[in-house]
Amino acid sequence: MVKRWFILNWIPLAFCCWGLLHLLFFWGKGFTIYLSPWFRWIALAAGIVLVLLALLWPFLPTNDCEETECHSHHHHRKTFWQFGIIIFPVLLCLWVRPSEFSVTTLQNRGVSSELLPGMDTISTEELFTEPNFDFAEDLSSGQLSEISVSDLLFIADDPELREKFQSKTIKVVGQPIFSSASRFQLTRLFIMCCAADARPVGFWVESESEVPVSLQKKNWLEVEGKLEFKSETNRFVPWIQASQVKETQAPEEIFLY
Amino acid sequence: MPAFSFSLNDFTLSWLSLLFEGIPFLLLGTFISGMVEEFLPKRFVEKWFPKRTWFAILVSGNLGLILPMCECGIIPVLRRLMKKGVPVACAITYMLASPIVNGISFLSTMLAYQLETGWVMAVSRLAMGYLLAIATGFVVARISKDNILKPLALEDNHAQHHHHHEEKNSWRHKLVRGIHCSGHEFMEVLIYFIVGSALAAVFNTAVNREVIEPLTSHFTSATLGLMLGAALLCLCSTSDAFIAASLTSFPSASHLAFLVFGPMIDVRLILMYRMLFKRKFIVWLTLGLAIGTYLLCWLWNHVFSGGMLW
Repeated sequence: MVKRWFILNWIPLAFCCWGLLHLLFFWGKGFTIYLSPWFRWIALAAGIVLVLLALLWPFLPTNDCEETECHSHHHHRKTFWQFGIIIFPVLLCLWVRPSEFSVTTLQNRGVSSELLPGMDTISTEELFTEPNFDFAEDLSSGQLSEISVSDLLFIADDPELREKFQSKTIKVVGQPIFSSASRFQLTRLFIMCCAADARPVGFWVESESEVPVSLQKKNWLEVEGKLEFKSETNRFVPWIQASQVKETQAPEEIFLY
Repeated sequence: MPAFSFSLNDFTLSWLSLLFEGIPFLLLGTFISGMVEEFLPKRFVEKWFPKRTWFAILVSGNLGLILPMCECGIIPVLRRLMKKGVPVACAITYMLASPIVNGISFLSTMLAYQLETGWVMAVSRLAMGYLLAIATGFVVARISKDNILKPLALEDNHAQHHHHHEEKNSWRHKLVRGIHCSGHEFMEVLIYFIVGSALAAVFNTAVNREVIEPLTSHFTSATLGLMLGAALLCLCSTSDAFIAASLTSFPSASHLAFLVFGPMIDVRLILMYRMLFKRKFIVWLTLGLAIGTYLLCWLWNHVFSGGMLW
């Protein structure tokens, strides 16, 4: 009886599982680590369609063949396999609950120290006029400025900005990849559509003192130090002489878009 | 750094993101397929589809401009079009061209390469994709259908089951039957999509990209390396240009190989092609497209080397 019910209803059941996962992730901010903000809306639309299909399916006309298929052993086995494969990713993501890529994957993908195509950085003009980036005032008064990894790469690319930021003390947050106790790359992941196309961007940090082993294992660090630029085959890349390295919370959006 | 290091956390993240990205397009593809089944009469295709094979293939290569489908959703539409009488050669031309010959891929390529090289890369990608698709179409037109399609590839249990309802032909009944058909097809394709995406996610997270870096020193190894990379990464044709553009150590012609070969052949697509095509045909198709892509990129490299892109 249960088997028969399952054979006739596995499709709406699968629609329901995937649809609810989409809706749960959209409203529970689960999509933050999977999709770029604009793509989350497309995923939401897909989730709604899947749930609607699950609800409507029992009212759609079934056919004689579907009814007779219920009695075939071969069909039973095939249906269980199909359902198992379709539902496995749903269960896996609820069980594993990934929150970010590990350092190994960042290393596997290779860190870029230059602006990537499609990267949305602020313009030179905005950098000095936007209230959130009032660097001109901060820099002249010697105050500390918090800058994103992508904006640092943008600054390194612009001769005028390079000159203004040279040797200034700044604060940056990112995921570290350590090569030694006092030298590491501070990175952020940049995505276009989804986490599968994420590419790490970052730069080198040299700490004045050795970073404690406990901090080296942390996923997110806040680095404070003097910003410098190095010339590297026809371009400049930023690097930081760090005076302070401390653990910090992951930002709300772990990717750059 | 080891060449291969697997992490379940990273694999899950990459796999699920590929699925979340692809499912909306898979839904769209199967929905269109269901609607084609119910609303496109076979006699319409017989009457309006070009009779001359060469002209029909040329037209099919451009169908993506009217009915753009990304590679995730193309298989259900393809099967339905063949069932409605579209010749196999034309359907395969459409399948190969559609993910490249459409406005979205063209614009994203232009944006990814920016400035003066953007339009060159976008036009080159579109032209190469179109040329390869129609060349494949002309070759396929000379092969018997039995050597291409699996015996029951066009048999559709769920559509056939509705034949006894054919007396109910109001648009509402057709819509309901179309949705039913789409739902079954979605589940069928989703299985292949899930398995293919899992393979892509392993490569995406576990393989160290430094392994392919030594390939950049020579045009042939760089081009073949990026074609293999595209086949393993299974990126969407609307966003792959952004990845290709960031591979700055590779020559531009190799970038084109990545952008043209990837949307036509990748592990996920090969698994989905298995629904329709015979294994032998898929092997020949893969080899033919790989050789064709390489030759076009080699030619492009010769025409443009020392020119505006280097």
